[in-house]
Amino acid sequence: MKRNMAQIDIAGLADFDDGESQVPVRKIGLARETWKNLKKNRLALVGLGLIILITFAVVFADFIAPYGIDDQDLLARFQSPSKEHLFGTDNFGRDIFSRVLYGGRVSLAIGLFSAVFSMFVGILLGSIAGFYAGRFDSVIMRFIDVMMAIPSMLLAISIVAALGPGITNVVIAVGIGMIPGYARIVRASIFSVKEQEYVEAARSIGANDLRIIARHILPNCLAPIIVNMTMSVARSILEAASLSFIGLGVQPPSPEWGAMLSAARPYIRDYWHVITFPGLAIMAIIFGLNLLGDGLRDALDPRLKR
Amino acid sequence: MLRYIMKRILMMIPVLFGVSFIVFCMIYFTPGDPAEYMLGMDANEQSVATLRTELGLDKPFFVQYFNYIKNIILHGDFGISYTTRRSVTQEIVERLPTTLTLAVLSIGLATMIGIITGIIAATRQYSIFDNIATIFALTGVSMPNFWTGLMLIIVFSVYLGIFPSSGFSRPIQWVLPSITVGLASTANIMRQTRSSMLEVIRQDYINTARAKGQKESTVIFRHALRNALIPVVTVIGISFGGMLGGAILAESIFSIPGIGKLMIDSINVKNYPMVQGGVLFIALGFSIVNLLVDILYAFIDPRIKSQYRRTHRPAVASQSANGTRRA
Repeated sequence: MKRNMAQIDIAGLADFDDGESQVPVRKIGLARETWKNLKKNRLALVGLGLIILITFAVVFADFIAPYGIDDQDLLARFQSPSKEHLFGTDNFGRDIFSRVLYGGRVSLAIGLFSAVFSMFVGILLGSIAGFYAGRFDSVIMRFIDVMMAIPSMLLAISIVAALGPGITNVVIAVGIGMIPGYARIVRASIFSVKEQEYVEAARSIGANDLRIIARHILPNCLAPIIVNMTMSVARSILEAASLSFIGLGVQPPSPEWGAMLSAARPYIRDYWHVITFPGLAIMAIIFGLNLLGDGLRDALDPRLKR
Repeated sequence: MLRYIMKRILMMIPVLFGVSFIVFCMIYFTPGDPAEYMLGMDANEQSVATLRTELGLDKPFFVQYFNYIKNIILHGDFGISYTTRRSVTQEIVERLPTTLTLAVLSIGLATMIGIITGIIAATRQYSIFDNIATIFALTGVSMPNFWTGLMLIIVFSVYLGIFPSSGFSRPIQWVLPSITVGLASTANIMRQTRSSMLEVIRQDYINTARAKGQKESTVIFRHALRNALIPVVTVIGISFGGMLGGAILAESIFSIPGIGKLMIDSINVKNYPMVQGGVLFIALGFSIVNLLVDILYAFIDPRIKSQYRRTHRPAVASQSANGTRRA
């Protein structure tokens, strides 16, 4: 812990002396330290492995999937899982395994983009509130309070009801619900570091506010942001799937996992496999992200570093 | 304490105004004319214009918002449903008991199972039970609740035929929806109880209680649990918000006539006053639960209660604290 803080401080000060030369030291230090701690946590490694496996399968779906995304075989409708169709087939005779792989692209992309969108807006609002405090803080935090008074799923439903269905609108709707989390974390982190000497040092040599926030304050608030990012990708995937399931998100025939479940719903009484596998895919990625998120929280928690 | 509760209630008012404004804006700027929705595609321009005037839709944005809020405050009137032409308030109030029953059953189930398994897992750390409970908790939080609901229907309704898959009028119909809505919260509460208990049972006062020769159950429930409960109560409060979202999906899956199903049906037919009313009702319920959670802290933790008492005489309190230290 001491070593890490020293590296961070040195990097902060070194930035004024000889520019970029010291900066990589900090980055490698934080990443190495985190990886060293993360390696000790088996569950987190299982989570990371699961995420890598699913991401790999989804990215290389063109090579792995045995059938095309919309290949129909009306003579092979509702087939149970077999060697030809690992997860069986749906009401149009489409291979569910292939659709789960292709659908993962949509689900993961929504999860990632929503999380990145909310992170940017959340960091912006949290930085302004935390750094400038006073009136800015009051206005932004009251706005955040208002958003937090609406359960996030309900907020997403309301936004998508107003904007209409579609991938972009789902990303916005789900992302907006997660902004308060980031804003509060960043604000609290900025409050805890903005009075540090290295911030004062940066100000004293004439660095402007943007540079102080971006180069000196935010890098020292990274830990909670990284943990929240992992968790918010999981939450986004879940909420996007929920929206698609109730018909407000991504629309069939897109194989987004929630949309697949929605399309399969009328047939569950006779064919269990049509909803089991897309649901398991959602569960697996969220399971992985939760494990990794928990592991990262422990690995980045200074109290737990030894 | 009373002053604190009053302050929190007063703080809720601007938040609820904010919620109403945001929801009103969202619906106002949504494309489409409510009068046309109400009268249908065949209506002539004259009748649409008359209805627009009647509903006050021809007035400027802020006038419409002011009238909307005025009607809510003075008459408890959230507007008229476009589809049934009945009062939104009436429709929501009719369905409120169903949604509340589902939420209370779910949170009750989640709290009971979550706390009990959390305590057992913490007191028998690394045992088989602890490992199974941890795996259950990790799986439980990762399962999308609408999928859980569908899987429960397949197993318990279709294959085993134990529980019905729809309706909410008989207690036996409450089982699957309550599990569906409460499962993720059970897992969260269990994880939080386990980690808080593990932190607390290593404290010196627990060793002291054991050294005094107190029974293990007294040590766990009277000394450890009470001190471990604060973060658990926070998780229960947060879960309630998630549960209201989950109830929307569960009501749709199990065909339960609650606010959630009403809202989804309303969204599908663009019945916006109903959506507005539903969101506001749920936000109000969520804010009240958050307030109750904050008040509950004081009852669980006497340190928090004493803080509020001390706020009347801060100078005296700090003096005595300093005095004690010097002594």
